[in-house]
Amino acid sequence: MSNPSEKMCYLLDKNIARYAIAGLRYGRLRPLTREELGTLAFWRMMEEQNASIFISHVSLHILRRLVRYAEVRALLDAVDVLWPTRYYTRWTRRLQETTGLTREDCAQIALGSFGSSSDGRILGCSTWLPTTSRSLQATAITAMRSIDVFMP
Amino acid sequence: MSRTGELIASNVALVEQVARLIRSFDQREKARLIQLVPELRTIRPEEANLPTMQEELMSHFDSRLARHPELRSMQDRDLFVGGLTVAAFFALPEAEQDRVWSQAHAEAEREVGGYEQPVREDVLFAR
Repeated sequence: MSNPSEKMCYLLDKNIARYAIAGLRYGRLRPLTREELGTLAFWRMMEEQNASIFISHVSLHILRRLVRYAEVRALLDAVDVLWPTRYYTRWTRRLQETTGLTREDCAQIALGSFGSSSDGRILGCSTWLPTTSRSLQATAITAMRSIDVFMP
Repeated sequence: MSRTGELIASNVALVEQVARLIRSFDQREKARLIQLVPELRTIRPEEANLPTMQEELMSHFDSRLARHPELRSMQDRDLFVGGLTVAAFFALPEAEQDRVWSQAHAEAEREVGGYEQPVREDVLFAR
């Protein structure tokens, strides 16, 4: 369990998935917001770098209900899913106790450390957690640094 | 041309046809048109031009949207999340969209909660 993945792996915050869908829906109809435009630019850049992009299993649960729309299907075609593994629930609870973030945000951070790809070959994602929330970014970085203390 | 590209081209052609028709109107008919479509007064043409970067990005993603011809793009009246239509959801202020989207995630988290995937022995750590 010591070899790193060859590819960079990025977990998309739930709102980034929303901006991607909005960007595809309205990109031909009106000027996009900074967040929507930034999300589409990030997505294209990740494709060019052959990086792996992940969404959470929870986002997948929502997007599956909307997969009849071309915009949602295009997003799902481009991403893999991070599924929770052992320690995910405990780490989520620990983060919730020690940060001021919501349970959903703590779960997202925990998934970035204790989530595995659909084929089970990759654990966690890179230290990047693309999100527009600065408090979430800061907490994610701190949390990832403190995992060594948490791990039994 | 992709399906999305064809739709855009057909809309452009339609707008040009309507423009020719409007130019044929007399002043009274044009005034009546503005009464019937008052939002025409509020439109500033320079805002309708999309930034070059956005045009380039959309050209990049057109092929993604056209990859599944059996699927169609979202329409305003389609259901999205939180019981809202696409138009209603994306017309909400950003903070309200965030709230509805987060609420949907909280509900989904409860529905899928508890599942933990076993880790393979040959698992690779992400870089």
